[in-house]
Amino acid sequence: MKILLASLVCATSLLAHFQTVMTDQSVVEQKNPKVSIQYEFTHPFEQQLMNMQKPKEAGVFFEGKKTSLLPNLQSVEKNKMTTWKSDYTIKEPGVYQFYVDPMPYFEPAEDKFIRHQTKTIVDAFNSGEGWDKPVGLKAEIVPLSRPYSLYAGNLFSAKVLYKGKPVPNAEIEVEYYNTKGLKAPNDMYVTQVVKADGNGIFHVALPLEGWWGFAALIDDDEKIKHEGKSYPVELGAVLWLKTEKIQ
Amino acid sequence: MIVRFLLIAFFSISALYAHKINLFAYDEEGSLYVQSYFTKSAPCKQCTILLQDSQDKELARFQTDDEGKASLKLPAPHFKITVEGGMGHQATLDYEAKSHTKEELKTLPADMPLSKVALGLAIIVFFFGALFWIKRPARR
Repeated sequence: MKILLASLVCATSLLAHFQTVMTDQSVVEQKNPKVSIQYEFTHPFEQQLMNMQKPKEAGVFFEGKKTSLLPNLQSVEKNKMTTWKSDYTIKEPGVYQFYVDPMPYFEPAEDKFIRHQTKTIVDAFNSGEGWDKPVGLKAEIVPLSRPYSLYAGNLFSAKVLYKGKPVPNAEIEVEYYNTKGLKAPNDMYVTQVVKADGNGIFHVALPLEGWWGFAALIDDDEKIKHEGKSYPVELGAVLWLKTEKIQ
Repeated sequence: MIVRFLLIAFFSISALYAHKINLFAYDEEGSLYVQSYFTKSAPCKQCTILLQDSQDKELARFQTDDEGKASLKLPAPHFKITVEGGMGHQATLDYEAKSHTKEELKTLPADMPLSKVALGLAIIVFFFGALFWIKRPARR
């Protein structure tokens, strides 16, 4: 029985938790300037959702200024779990970074809280600039490759920041948002892992079209008290981007 | 000297070819606002903007300022916008105005379909009819 329980705990911990922020378009054209944003807490490859509480913060970062989208957030029930959505109408050319800072989630199997500060980056009307600017989140992935209008098969590069500074040798989990029902050969294939170099820079190839998530996991310097005990926080710097197939 | 000139000309052309010209337009309260740029921080300065109707008849021709922006009164509800950035660079946009042109504003009530007017009148007649019926003197 003990062995069974232990293996169950190990099996669940193998599934990587990802906060998501995904938009219905990552390159916005004038014919449709309204962007729909969805927020989920999920295991992206297995498509196993978890309940997501209303986030602490959700917004859009444009030209150095944050605008909260929290008042517009609406809950959406999906597979009997709570997810969230909002929308935003773009009125001028530029790069818009949609971000979310969720309520920390307590993971009893790992004895820690998980807080994934997550963003996705959208270009409006071919503005072409600003995608490499940090939003200013405590943990953040800043792209070195343009994070939209990417083809499947491209190599993507980015830098991991914690409190604005590069994180040497950061470990980054990579997952595909698997809406196609793809099967991994075994569990080890579900989450890909890369390490950043001494400057916090990592490179990943993106073999399929669709959404890809990158989560750099950092031990936060803050702890959270829960039922009289202090727990560590896994702070995730998470970035989502979409690749397209060449037709 | 000639080599230097050729080199400068070559690099200028290369830089221009590397950038696609973009055109962004919106309208508000009867005015059209146009912005043209290669990238967000590289505006198409003093570039010619041409507005044409569906028969390619010129409706307006004007220039952007140093920020790549320009505005004018909406000349029609639907037209084509072309920006010419020199060196054969141009971008075109089929534009459908979302706010009314100045001429349309004068005739705004005519925009209301007759069916809606008739329905409104019917509701008013019904309301006062009902009121009259309720308040009529009781028969003895």
